[in-house]
Amino acid sequence: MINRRTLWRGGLALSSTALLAACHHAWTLDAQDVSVRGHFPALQFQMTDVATGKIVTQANFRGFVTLVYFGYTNCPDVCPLTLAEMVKIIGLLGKDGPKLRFLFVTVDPERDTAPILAKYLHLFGATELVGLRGNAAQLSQFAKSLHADYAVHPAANPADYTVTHSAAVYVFNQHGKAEFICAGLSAQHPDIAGITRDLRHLIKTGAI
Amino acid sequence: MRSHLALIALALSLMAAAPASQIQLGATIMAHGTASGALPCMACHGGHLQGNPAIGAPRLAGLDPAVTLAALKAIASGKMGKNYVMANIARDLSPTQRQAVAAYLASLKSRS
Ligand code: HEC
Repeated sequence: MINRRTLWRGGLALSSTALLAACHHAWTLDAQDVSVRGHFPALQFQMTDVATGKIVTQANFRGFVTLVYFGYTNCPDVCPLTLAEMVKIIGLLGKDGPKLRFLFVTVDPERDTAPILAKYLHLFGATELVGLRGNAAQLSQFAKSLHADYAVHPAANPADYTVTHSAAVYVFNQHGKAEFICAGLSAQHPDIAGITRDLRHLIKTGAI
Repeated sequence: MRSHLALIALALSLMAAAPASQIQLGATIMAHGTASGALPCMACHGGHLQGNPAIGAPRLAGLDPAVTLAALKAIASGKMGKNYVMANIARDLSPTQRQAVAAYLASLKSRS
């Protein structure tokens, strides 16, 4: 009797584990992607879309898996690299590519005017790239909400004008919920296949 | 002296003979990079390839083809430059792509 009961309980426990496993927590992120579920606030900002000149907010990106990156166009290495890797990923995503948006937020709005940023992003040749520019308050609010650091030290000599910024890519689901951070896109050996797999999973299922 | 002049004439005629398709390929690489992963050159060298001192990327417009080819070779081998992204790009470009880039840059008028 007791034995049977234990068995039954065991069976129940087993099947609920199986249920859990079948739901979204079973997904294992790529080693270069770090889950931030529940640790980061939802996507929230107000900025100007440099291609259209229109004010946009998180509401404009509902329904898209939305990636956020803070950078600047006079960036000698990590920003163009990240953009180029991102465009590769969008290509690999195939028909899922257009379901994603990559928001490139300039941390150097002083030099990155709307036309300059729009032209720069256009070079990379993917319509999924969106350039965002805001005033100091809009930028700092957005960056702070994601714990993204940046600093601009202007100088008359362009070679001495320095800009620092965090290089992470923040990934939000179709409802603006923070899902994970891609830390590897500007790394020496970005795991393009692995990051693509995570993004495709998110696009297909709406959660990681 | 004479053979020198002949060589120069030959070089000039070769330059003038850069086929339009080659120049077109060079222009595409400049604006959009290559499928194998070279970044759009204009991202660092400027929309008019006028150079960008903020990045330390020199002016490319109007470069003599020999200079372009020699620079790419030196950068690829690590003998010149300090930007690792540029070094990777130089290594990534095939001989055909280098020729195309050189032909295109030469076709742009140098600012006097
Ligand atoms: C990430 C920025 C960046 C990109 C993208 C880039 N370059 Fe450069 N390039 C540089 C920098 C910086 C230098 C100066 C050398 C150094 O420090 O590496 C340079 C130097 C050069 C030189 C040598 C010029 C001279 O007169 O010494 C050539 C030629 C060149 N690049 C061609 C290209 C081509 C062709 C492409 C596109 C396929 C390209 N570059 C893309 C940053 C870049």
